Amino acid sequence: MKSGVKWSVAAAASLCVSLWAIACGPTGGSYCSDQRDCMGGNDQDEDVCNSWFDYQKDIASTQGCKDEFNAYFKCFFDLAKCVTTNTGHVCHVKTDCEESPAGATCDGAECVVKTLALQDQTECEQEKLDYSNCNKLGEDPFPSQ
Amino acid sequence: MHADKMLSGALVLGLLVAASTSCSRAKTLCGLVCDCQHCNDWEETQTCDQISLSQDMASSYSCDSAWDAWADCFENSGNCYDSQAKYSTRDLGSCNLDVSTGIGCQATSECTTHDQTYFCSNNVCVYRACDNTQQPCTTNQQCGQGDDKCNQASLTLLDCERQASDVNVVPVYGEMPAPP
Repeated sequence: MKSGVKWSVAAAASLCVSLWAIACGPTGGSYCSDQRDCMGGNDQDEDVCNSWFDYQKDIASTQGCKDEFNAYFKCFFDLAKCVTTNTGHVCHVKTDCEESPAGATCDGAECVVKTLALQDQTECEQEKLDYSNCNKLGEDPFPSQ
Repeated sequence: MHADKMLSGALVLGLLVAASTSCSRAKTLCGLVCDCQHCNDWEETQTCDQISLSQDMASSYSCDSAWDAWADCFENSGNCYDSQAKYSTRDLGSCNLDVSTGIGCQATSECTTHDQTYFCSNNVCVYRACDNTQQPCTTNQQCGQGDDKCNQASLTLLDCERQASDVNVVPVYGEMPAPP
């Protein structure tokens, strides 16, 4: 039953992404699922990602920046790729990377950070600018390289 | 059948009580901060959401008791520094101590000839100093902050979350709210 519910949610999320322009708006589920595919993680990590995404949406909404957030997120979600960055630290096991930036894992003999990110600063530039002009926090929720 | 209904009713009630207790805890903490810091609506929502997020994150990783311990510390060890409108679990210094120089005066102009920062108070030239270090200062920021009394609780929580995470993901999505 539980797994049935999970699949229903997953199917709904996929459908939501496909029908984006019609009604649904951004979903943290799709983003967090892609993020997990990229950086790895367990179910709990994905839950935390979803909580984080809801928080970002709430903050945007509270500031009256819902439309700007949706536009920025849609652009980010369309263009973001899984990017791998070497941290320069040598490792043998995952725990060797604890001093590296957050999210680092041991890949080969090097600590690497994998995350969804835009490839180019110019991607989603206008959407990012619109959101940052609206968002009093001044935080950019989505990274670029 | 009747017993089943009662059991499911009790379960629903229990879940509702648990949910409202956990929500109200985050709300209590956010109330402490915002009553002290005179948050506007937007700041209050942001503060409450941030604390709720940290609670949700802890819950996802089954670190509820570590979060509760941190919340206890935050609630019980924090102080509202009225003059700075700041709630903190650190000992914040205030630049509000007048230290006598021993030089007599009638007006501040007589003091500034010795040092631009001296001023005349009760017929003595004084300078402003931090109430915690007694070092001369002009702003509260110069008085620094003491150790965070909830540092250990924060570290224990973070450690619990790190253990449960596969990718040390916690800081990626934002650390728990730092003591304001």
